[in-house]
Amino acid sequence: MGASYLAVGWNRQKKIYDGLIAGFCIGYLALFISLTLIFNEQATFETILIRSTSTLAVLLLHVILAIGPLCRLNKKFLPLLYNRRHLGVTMFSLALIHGSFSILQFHALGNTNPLVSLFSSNTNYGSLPAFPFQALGFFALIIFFLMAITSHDFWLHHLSPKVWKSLHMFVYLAYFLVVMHVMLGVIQYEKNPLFVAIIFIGAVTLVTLHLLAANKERRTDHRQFALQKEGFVSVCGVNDIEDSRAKIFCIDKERIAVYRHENKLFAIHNVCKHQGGPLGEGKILDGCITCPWHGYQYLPQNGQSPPPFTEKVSTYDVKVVDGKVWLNPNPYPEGTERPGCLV
Amino acid sequence: MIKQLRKRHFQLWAVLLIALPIGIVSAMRVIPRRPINSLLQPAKDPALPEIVKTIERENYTIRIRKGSDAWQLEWVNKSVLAVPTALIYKTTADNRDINKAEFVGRIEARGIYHFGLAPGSFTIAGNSRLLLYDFIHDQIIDTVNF
Repeated sequence: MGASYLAVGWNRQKKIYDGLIAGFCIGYLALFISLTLIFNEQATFETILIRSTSTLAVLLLHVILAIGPLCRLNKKFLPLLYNRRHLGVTMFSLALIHGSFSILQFHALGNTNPLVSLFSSNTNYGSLPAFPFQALGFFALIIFFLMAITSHDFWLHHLSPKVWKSLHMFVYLAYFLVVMHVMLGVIQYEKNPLFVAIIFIGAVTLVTLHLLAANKERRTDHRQFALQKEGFVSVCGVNDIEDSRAKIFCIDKERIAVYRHENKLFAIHNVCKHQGGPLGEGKILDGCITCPWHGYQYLPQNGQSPPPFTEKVSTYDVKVVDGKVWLNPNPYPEGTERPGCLV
Repeated sequence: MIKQLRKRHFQLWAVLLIALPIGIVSAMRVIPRRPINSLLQPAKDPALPEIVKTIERENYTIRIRKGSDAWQLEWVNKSVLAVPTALIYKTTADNRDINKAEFVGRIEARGIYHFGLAPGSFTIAGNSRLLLYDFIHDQIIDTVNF
């Protein structure tokens, strides 16, 4: 990190994204608090704060978990993915407010340390109806905390994408803990079936979206390419690929993106070095293949990020014969220059 | 995403596909059927039309009411009682032992309460009394003679 280092490279899209998040959260909290004050005059400040932040955090968690599969099903949702980590940090902040005030409200008034009280005031771990649901929320909050503090690219580089991604996949465990925290907590006391319906619909939606997206990816992975000649595989027609765009092909378990740029075809490995984003779902901006997830860029002819960046991906040979695109799935070392193929 | 990561995502969501419904349904099955904070006091009956007897105290009014074939004790808290809840017992004029008294009902610190009575109750002067008993502190708060 030098003197010119900036922790967050703000740009117009990020400012709009964060502005929309802030506007939505403020609007939601204002609406929730207003309706509570109208319909439940006896509600205290702590209760309103605990309930408003918890419901908003659960809502945001569902949105966050839906963004990934939505983007895989439809590219129009990609702008939501661009700054998803800001949405995650916002969700964690709201969950932290909820958790802190809950501990203050329910565990800070005795002579026991509130965190000790959290685990010792109810020890019915063997009973489902009396299960200490607050502990579930606490552990979910710990996972969100670890994700929030490692959300910056600094940690992505230092932990390595594999470790970082593995850590962040604990969000699914956290989601399950949150669902059970709600089901064994507030649902046991609130008679309104709307609460159960919301949690149930949320869970069904998320599971369905993820399984649909997985099925779509599976079909791409299992597509058979019958025509093979001198190590090349016929993948599609030349006109099937739009200019400055790509098509993705999975050959021998590797995904390869074939890009069309300035009447030439280039093939590179489909996986972005940043977070494993699908390079073939991006487009060419300023002469660079641009990852749709977070905007990492690579030159089509050699798979290298433009200086001063150092990321590299593998390149492949591609040729055109009688209007058909032929692709050689044997990769060149990352960053190897390839001339491309005239269309 | 690399293929291995896609596979792990799919496996995790396949697990959640099973775990989430089990968790949600299990939690729904143990939702208490009765509200946790429901009063032990039954719903208030409507007041019977005819007032047989009235006793005024500083903090409450007690009336014996009757209808066509039923009698009723009406207890009206004029101000908030000093105890959160109390039990009412009916007994003879010379008794202060709740173990020998007949339970009538339970009241809270505020409100109006109606309890069923045997026809003819409290109509003979000097024959019966009510005991107001604070079961939390195990003491008789008040005695009302008829």
